[in-house]
Amino acid sequence: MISIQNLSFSYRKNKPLFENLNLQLEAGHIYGLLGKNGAGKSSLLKHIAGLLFPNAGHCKVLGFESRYRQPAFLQNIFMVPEEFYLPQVSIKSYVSTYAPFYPLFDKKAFYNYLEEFQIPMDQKLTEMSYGQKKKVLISFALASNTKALILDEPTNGLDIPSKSQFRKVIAAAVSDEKCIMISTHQVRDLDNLIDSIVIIDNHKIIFRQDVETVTDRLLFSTVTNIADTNKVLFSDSSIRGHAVITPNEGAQHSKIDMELLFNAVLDKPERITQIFN
Amino acid sequence: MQANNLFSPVRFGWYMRKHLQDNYRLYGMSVIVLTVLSLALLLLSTTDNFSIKASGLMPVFFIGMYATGLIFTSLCFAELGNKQQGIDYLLFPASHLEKFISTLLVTTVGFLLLYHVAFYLAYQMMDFIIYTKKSVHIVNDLKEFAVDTPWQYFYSIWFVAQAFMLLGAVYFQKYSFIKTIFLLAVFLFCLYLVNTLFVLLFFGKILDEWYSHFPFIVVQIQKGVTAEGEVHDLLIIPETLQQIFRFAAQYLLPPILWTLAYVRLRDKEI
Repeated sequence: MISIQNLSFSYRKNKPLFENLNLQLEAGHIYGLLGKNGAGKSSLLKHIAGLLFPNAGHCKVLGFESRYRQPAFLQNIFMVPEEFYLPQVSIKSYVSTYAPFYPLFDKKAFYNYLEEFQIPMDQKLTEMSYGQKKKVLISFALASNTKALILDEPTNGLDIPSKSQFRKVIAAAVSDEKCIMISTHQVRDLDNLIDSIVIIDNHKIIFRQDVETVTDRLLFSTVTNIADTNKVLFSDSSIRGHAVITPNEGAQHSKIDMELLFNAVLDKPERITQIFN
Repeated sequence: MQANNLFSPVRFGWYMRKHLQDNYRLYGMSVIVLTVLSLALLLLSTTDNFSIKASGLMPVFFIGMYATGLIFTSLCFAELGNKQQGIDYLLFPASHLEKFISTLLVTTVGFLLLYHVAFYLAYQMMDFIIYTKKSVHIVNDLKEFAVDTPWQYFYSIWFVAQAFMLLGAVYFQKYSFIKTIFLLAVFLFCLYLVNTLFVLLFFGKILDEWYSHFPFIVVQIQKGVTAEGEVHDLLIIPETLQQIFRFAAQYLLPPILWTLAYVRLRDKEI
């Protein structure tokens, strides 16, 4: 579905953001794109959407070269940027003018999503708060039924109940034909939502694994005494004890701690990736 | 069904509808502002001592058309200077050609239509004011004006200026109007300097003054000296060539500039 091959890009000369970056994303998954500030998460999403052009390499979505922004490509991809624009019209007008451009748009689903997010239908977009507007845009994005859906920091500006509503609607919207990519630095917001993790750092994709594979190979646990634990790959101390990652040698089941995994991958990339090779 | 990726009339219709729906308030208010502004300028430009003729109002009409039309065109891609709006614009599922043509139509046909409506309203209001004060109407001598004045050229030149401004608007999202005028002035000055070099090369000593030429059209040379003084001659390019130049400036230059603007729009990144 999304194929990035040998992508190189820099905003300034001699300061590359991506160097020969490769990434393949398939339909039927919700990918979480994680990275430090300035690692290039948003820039990578912009390349996928065709808002930035590679200096070298290719970025294709459904076989379309993103940079050409052809209508057949644009009607199959929807991006919810971190900072977004909505015209000063009513929800009804917005739908009537924007929806015809998305052949698979489902009006009924759109109003269902709005209901789920508790957005009053008769309220004008201009009278809405940032969080409400974002929920309208997310609802529209989901109802457009595009094959690729890109969400850049979607939970920014959402209150706590809305974040859980967000997880609920995204989980319900995923299908075998859709590829959803979510970029965030608030990894806890994506708990139980994403099924694949992509970590970007140092101009490259340094980690890309299914959540299932991660929990098969790694064990996430909290211990009181770190010295009692063997083969600690990474640990993080808190008032509750020590959150640790160890190799899952006993095929035990544990719940993934994405923040811990993210920090582990950034801190000890070789040790972590070695386990997956 | 595979979408037409270059131009689809149906999608273009939808896009125009979307554009108008997003901007109808702005355009409606613009007509009101233009009408009031035109009326104010018309009232300021006339005095009580003369009978008012419609032809006397035409300078205000054309100056207003150039000023407002070019400023409006210079702002037509301002949304690309705003990250949020720019993303919405570039990712909207219409082709670049459809987006560009809609902007072109709005800044040419749309603007001229609204401007003429606004000026006509201002004209009618002014006529009403004058009639109330003096019990006379504005003298409509536009037929004579149309015969005596090459008014068509004012429109032709406006389209050339509009095309330059549109190209500038795609390149510069901030201060587009000023930047475009500045760069155009620099370009014309450089063109003049290049022409000066060639004129000096070709005519050398017989050239009247180093600056006595108009690029590609005319050169003033010295023919000799008589008892009465120096004899000058104007070397003008043949009439056919003049017509070709005029045709190119009127009918080829704007489409070329529009095409360049379209190509630049396709390459826009945010």
